[in-house]
Amino acid sequence: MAGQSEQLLTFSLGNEEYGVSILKVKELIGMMDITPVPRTPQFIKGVMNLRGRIIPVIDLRIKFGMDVQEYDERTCIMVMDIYVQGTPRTMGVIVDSVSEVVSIEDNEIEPPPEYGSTLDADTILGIGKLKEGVVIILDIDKILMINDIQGLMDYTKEGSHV
Amino acid sequence: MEDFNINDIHIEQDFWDDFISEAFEHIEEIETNAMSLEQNPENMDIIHTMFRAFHTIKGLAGFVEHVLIQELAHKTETMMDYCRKGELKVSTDIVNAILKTADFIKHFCEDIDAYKEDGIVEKIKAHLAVLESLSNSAEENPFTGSIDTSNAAPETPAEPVAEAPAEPVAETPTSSVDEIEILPATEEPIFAGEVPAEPVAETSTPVEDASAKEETPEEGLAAFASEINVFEDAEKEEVSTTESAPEPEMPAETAAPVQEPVAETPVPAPTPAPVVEPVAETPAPAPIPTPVAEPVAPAEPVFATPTPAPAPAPAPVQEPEPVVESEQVSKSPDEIQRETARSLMRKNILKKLTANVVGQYGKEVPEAAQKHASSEEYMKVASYRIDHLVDIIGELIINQALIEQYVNSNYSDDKQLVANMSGFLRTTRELQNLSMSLRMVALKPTFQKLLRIARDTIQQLNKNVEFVFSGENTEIDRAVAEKLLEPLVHMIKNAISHGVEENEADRIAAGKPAKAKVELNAYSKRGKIFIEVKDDGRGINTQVVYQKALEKGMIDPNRTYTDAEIREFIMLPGFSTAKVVDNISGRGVGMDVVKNQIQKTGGKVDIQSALGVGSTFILEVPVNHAIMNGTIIEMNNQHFVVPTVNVSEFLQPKPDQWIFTKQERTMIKVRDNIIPMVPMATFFEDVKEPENVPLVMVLELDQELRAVPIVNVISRQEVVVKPVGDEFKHLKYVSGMSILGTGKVSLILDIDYLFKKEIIE
Repeated sequence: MAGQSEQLLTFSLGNEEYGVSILKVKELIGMMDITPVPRTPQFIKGVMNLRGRIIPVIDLRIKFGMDVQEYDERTCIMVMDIYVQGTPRTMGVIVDSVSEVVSIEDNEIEPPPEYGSTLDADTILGIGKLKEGVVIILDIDKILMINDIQGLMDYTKEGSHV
Repeated sequence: MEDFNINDIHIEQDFWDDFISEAFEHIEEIETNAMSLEQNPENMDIIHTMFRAFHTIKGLAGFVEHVLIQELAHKTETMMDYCRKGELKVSTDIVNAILKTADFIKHFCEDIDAYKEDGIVEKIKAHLAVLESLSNSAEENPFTGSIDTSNAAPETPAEPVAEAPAEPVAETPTSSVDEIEILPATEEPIFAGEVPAEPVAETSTPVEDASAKEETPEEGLAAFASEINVFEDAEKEEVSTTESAPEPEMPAETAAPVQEPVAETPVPAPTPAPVVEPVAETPAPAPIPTPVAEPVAPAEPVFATPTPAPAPAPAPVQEPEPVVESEQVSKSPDEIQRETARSLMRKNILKKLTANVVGQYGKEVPEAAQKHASSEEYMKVASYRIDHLVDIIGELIINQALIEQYVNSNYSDDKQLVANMSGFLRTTRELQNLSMSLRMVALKPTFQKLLRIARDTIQQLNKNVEFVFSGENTEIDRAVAEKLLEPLVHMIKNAISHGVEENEADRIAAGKPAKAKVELNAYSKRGKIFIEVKDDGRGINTQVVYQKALEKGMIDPNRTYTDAEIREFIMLPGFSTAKVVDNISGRGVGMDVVKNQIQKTGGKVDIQSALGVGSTFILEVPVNHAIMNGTIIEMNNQHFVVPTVNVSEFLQPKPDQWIFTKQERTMIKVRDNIIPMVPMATFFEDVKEPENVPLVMVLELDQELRAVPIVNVISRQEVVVKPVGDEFKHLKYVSGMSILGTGKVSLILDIDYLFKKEIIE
């Protein structure tokens, strides 16, 4: 429907600009002490203490198969409620940096491409056209659902994917 | 036996939750009271309290329309009534029956569908028969001869109606006794006059009001009536006529039959809402004059005006049919009334009813009021909220520590800031203590459950044992308290069945009093809770235990064990299956389970025993389940927490201590023990076994040892245990996570897993 707009939080991974619905993001925090949890897939950085709650933290870069990069002062953890098998779980998602909150009209969103991406097409909700360029709008629930969280759940030694 | 029909159970979900919480409280009270009644069978206060409790349950069950509970409560109440009047002496049989009723009701409360179980109705019926026969035993020894006659009378008209016999029989003497005491009238008419009042009483409860009107007759009824009046206007007059019933009750025996049949109707009717119903029932016939004309008409005046009543009364006695009819007819307005009632009552009714029922027993009003008032001062809060609060306060403490550190190192000259900081510190500490205390509960409910179990065990084994407990007000984290019950049940059963000598002769021969004593004591010391189960029985025969353990190949035959070590054998898994142990050493049932459970709470079990003198099993548990004493170690540049209870020792291995297989260190020789090493691959994927191992941590579980190569021991501290999130459930080596004082998360190693054979295979 024309005129409908959505608020996106945009963030970057390398040179790529991504966006997620602002409603999914509970808070943004700087890099924190993360305790590695051995014998888990690489993209799971470990667990952290979020005000007394212990939450898992994933690295989106590693998840997307991009080069590992040192964390710096721009590195950010987006705390999100991600649905895993129907139940929301609070998780931290590490990204290179968070850019801004943008409002985007429905008619400015293109459907996801069929090819040419490192990502599965159905993890992308669409491509948003902004003045500064394009933003890839992610379906964060799908990204973590497809095989990872499940993979993570029955992760075994030989199953070290990523 | 009455003909209740479980098909008539249509439990009102809306009320059910309320019912459970309300009924549970009463049942627990009943259980406790039943056991103290056994000790003091003459204590009228207890009997009264229990009577009221059953009465309330009966009323409550009516609202949820649970016939079975209603019947159970009703029959037990009837029996209690005899006790109350001193016509039935409290015996073990009676206490057993009360407890059994309590068990049944509990069962129904725990499972809403329990009434659908196979054979449950038969069980209930059997139990009801027991209750009835107990009640009848009172009836066979009537107070005065005249009771018999008054019994005989109502019984005849009652017959056509299924339920009747037990009822009037039960209630009649009740009221009559009161009557004798209070009203100086002659016995005969009183009994007769009493009968009418009683059926009303039995269903709508004002037993005492009707009979002992001197006390607070109007009050109770009026209160009750006004309650009902809320529901239906038409009811008003009817109820108020009932209200006047206590006065006219005198009129004489003629009045009796009239009310009998009318009152009877609610009873046989399997319709399960007695509290609402009976009130409705009595007045009901009035609005529908046509079919019931004969019997009802006379009934009315009886209620309304005392004097003219006697005359028309006798007629309906001979006519049971109209009674049935009146019941059917009354149904429809009853139904309507109930609907209205329900929509109006909702939750409040349960509370009001409880207060009301209690209130009807005049004497207790102030006490009841007090009780009610004090319950208002408590608030039920979901435990997750409290957990959340505790978490957040924990985080506050961590933040505060960071600020404090910063202030101290950078602004130590600023006196004002330092002073403010320390003030802040005090407040947050207090806040933390307070938040922890929110999760604390007294051990009392746990102990009361144990008292019941001890009692049953003693009775089953027919032993002469006294069971006492102390320290029931000791407070402990709720989660820990819950985990303690099962181990304590084991321990108490063991103490009674195996700890205590087989028979009194053995005790006397050993120069001990014939009556054995089993004690349950709780106390707190050094920030831990200690719970002791102590018996003055035979004690543990260490030689027998040693032999048994040896035979079972559980221990090293070349080693000499101390007595204390040998006693620990009884907690080895598999040891308990040795049947001989039960008879000879007298211990060992499920002790491995006890040990496991207690270790899960972060506690430990200590056994003290002297042969021929007795044994004491001591549980040492942390006050707070979430807090565990942990040893923090470093492996592969990462900190892990190990439960300190399982850490046997740390050692710096010498090269000649290692035992290699396939060029890898797989075992270490420590003194006489060959200890298997836990491979690093258990924890880490890509880490090779270290070239040199500077330090080895030796873990102990169930007399077994494991060695873990580590890099460093960091500290030993109380850590807050958090469960592992679902994301990490598959990781077997981790049993929990913890936020350390630094605010950093640490993984807690799962000791059970490290001792699994698959790891060192």
